[in-house]
Amino acid sequence: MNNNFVKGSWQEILDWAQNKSINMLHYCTGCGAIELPPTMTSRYDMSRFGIGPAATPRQADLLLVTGYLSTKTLRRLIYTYEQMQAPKFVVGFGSCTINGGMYWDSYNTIKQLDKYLPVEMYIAGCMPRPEAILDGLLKLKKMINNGEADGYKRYQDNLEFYHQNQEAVLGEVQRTQ
Amino acid sequence: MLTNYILIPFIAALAAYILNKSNKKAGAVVTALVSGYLLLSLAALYGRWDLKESFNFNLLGYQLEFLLAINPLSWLFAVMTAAISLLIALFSIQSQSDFKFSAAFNLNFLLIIGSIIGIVFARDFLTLFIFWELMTWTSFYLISAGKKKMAGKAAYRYLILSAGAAYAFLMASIYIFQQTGSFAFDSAAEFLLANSPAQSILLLAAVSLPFIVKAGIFPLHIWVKDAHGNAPKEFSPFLSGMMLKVGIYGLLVVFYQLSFFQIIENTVAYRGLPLLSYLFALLGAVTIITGTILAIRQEDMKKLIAYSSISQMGYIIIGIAIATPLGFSGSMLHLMNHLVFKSTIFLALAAVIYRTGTTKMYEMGGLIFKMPLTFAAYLTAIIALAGIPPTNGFISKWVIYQALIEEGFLFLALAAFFGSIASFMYVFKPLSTVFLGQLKPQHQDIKEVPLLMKIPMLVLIGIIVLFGVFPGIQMNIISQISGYLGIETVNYSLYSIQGAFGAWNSLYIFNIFSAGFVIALLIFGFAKKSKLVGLLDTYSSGEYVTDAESYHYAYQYYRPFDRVFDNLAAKSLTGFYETLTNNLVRTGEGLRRTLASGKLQNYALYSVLLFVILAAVGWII
Amino acid sequence: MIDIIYRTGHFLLITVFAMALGLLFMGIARKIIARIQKRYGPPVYQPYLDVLKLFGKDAITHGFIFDFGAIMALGGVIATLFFIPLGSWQLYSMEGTVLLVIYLLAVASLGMAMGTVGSGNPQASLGISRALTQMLGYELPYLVILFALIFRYQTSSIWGLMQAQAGNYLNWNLFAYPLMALVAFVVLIGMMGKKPFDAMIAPSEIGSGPVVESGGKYLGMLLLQKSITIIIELALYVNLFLGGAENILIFTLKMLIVWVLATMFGSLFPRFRIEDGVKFFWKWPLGIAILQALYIII
Repeated sequence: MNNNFVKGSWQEILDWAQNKSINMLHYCTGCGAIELPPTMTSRYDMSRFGIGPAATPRQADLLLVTGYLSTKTLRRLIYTYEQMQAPKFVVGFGSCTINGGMYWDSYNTIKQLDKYLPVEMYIAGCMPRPEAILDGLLKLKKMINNGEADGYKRYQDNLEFYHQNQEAVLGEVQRTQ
Repeated sequence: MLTNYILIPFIAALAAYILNKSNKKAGAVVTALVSGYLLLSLAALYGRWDLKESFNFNLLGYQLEFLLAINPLSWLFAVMTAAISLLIALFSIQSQSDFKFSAAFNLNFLLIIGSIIGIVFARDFLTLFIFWELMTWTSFYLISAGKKKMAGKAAYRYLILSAGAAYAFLMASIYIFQQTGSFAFDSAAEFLLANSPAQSILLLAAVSLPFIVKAGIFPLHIWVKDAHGNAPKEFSPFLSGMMLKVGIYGLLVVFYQLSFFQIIENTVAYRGLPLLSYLFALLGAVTIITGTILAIRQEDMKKLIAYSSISQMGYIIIGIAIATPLGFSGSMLHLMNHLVFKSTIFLALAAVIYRTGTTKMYEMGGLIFKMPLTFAAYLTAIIALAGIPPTNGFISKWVIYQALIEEGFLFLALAAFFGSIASFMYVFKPLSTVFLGQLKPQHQDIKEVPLLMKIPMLVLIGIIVLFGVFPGIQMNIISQISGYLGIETVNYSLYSIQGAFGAWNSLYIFNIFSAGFVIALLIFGFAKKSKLVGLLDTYSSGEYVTDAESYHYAYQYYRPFDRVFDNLAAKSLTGFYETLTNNLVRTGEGLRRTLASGKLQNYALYSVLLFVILAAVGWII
Repeated sequence: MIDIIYRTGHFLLITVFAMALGLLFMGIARKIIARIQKRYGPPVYQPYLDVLKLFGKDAITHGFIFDFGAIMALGGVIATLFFIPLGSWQLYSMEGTVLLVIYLLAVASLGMAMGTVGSGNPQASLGISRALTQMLGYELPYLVILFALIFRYQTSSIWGLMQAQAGNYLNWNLFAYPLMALVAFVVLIGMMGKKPFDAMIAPSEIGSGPVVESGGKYLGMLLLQKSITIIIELALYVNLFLGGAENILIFTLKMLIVWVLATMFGSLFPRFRIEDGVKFFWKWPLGIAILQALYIII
């Protein structure tokens, strides 16, 4: 993991720029992803807030986990998260990421995203409407601007905690170099 | 004195063969020494354009004269041959250490060097023919020594075409001998001028046939791909670099010294150019287009570059055929530049073959991490081939464009532009599939090539950049040649050339280019430092990549482009020739079956008929 | 000494100006496309923020060639910029600049191609092979047009071609050779990679093509390269067909008009497949360009 965090007042300018221009990775994990197209297209127009799509994790800032996560998907999600570069943010979308949601008693899904990846904020709903999504993303922008969205730093500081949880549910996890 | 330059390689050839039997590297060392000596002594001959020699020989009542002389054009070709042989010999000292036929290779190589020097020094048809045939036969042996199974068949096809064309040459030259009593070029030129134009043009066409075959011009280019692709890896640079040019030399002799241009001066003209010249230039244009399109389809890197050689020859033909001062200078510049950068490409590919043992591009990948100098040589050479400043390839192509635009030849310019842009595509293919991309597990232990193989590549890179920034060095000799052949010269200085609409200043371009580069470097340097990750840690939609083989895009790299030409490519020229020969063979078979059928009655009938005819004529009884 | 400082300052000023203007044009394009699609779209200064953010992010690299490719791309494009007259400013009037500009743009694309393919990702190679094939498609009609213009005005410097259209606005090549201007406009859309000719950066087909592994400062540099390339191509079109301009403001206005037209045109179409794009360029644009060129020559 990278440790090039910029210090000082230069950080405030970068935070402001980051909040004005967010690249969102289209990782559509579960059924919650159906609410993303209306948010991105003409009706609810996410791009006027500077949030645009990114094709690959290398170019992305925001990982939107839209719905339930089976263990199979979690493995790839962790790999994708580690391929993203700092500063990066994770937003949990829908009740499945908060407490398991509709699949609270399934043997195959994870019940609390925060144990495996550092989440900045959750957007409640099953599924949240586009207005709710926009409300959540605007709050995220405010958090980024104030420098409160430091999930990537939390991940690095508590690496042992996260790795332990991941391996508890997945078995062995392949890491990037 | 001039015969020394021919005899020394011949004697050294035998020495190399004998020495090589004891020590595998000795033959290449002899070749290198001899080439170095030839280069230095020929360089010392610069300016002595008055040297001449002749030998008289009496055979069956015919007085045969063998004339040798040196002039700027011959000097240039001899120096180019010696220089490139020196570099190839240096390279082959190491790369042929386990080659089965290295003795025969060096023997034939030295013979070829000697015969090329004999060709360019010749001043009469007989000398030219003798050395031409010697060169053809020895190169036939060399091509068939390649490692591939197809090498023999490819060499055979090359031989048939060359031999057929050479016999046409022989017949035409014997006819001229009968009419004028001598084989010399000067008397032949006078005779052709005085003769009827149609007959002279026919004779000259027969004379130039072997040169057209050797230069690989459409429609006689079918031997080039297999011969260059299957030849031994050290010989391909020489084939593509020098032997194609010997054909161009012959064409220059036909055009200027056998007064082809003077003969057709008063024939029907198109935009100020005689129609025959324009048709010849059109042949060059079709060569460019054919070579380029076929190059993009190849999966074998040597065959790809072989097709590229054909298309560059098309540029040279266009420049020579339009016969303006700019066109001629552009062609000569391109001739020299093509030698340099094509040899660099082939030497870099030979280095890769030396280490990996394969020529198919989809079996390699990621070699930049293991062979960075080879990559740098290849990159510089393809920048020159694509014609990008500040390399020498740009200058020669720019001059040819100026010549075409000045005269307003739209279709020739269109073909030239097509060749230039599409060359970008086919040179990028080996770069991307061989040097970049994923490194295959079986190539993890490859090292860079040894020092003796690095030196030729470094020297050639230096020459590419040097000629790119200072084209005046080349223009010195080219203006001498133009003066000798009676063409106007082009204005030039050390780093600028006068084009049709203004001058070109290389040094300035180089400076501006560096300025832009420095600004970009500053922007890059002031940003955050980036982290180095391995090749297998790459975007794959979240899936783990463990198998480098399946993550390398190489096979059918330009599938969309191939689809555009799929219908056309199905009808290939080689297929046409093969159908023709098959039909010929079948007709012959049919005749043989009827006439020489093996039946005794038919033979008895023939004898009786013969007796009757001879009796009727009065030769018997 | 003063001369060198003056020159260097000139270089930097032009570079910064072109980058700023190019990014602004990209923002304007996004706004226009958004409005056509009946939504608001990001503010026009959004690309500046994108670039600033990108230079603040971390990035990964796959080796020396990855870095070198990015530098070569941006460096080549900046070097090309110095040969194009912007308004009445011209760094050094030289013959042969038209062909030189085309080739220096090729340097930049070679640099980007080399760098991005050096990442080892096959999707980058796929995107580059598509981009190169398409380049062959649109360069042919463009070079025929340049051939005709150089032959007509007997000069091969952009400054000369611009001056040849001075005087009345009816002297512009747009009105003298309207078919050629139309073909050059279609080629311009292909050069800038707008729809329908953007299969090489198709995000969902090949994971955004060449830039698949570029993040952080690499993506920022490629964005800057794109912005300068836009300015170069638009300036070339305005100089060749709209008669250039006496000062930089009118020049910018003309570039803006061409840019807005190109954007509006490009927002209407889906994507062509690469071979369809190449065949298209070789059918109508090449045919019309050849006819117009023959008319000029004969």
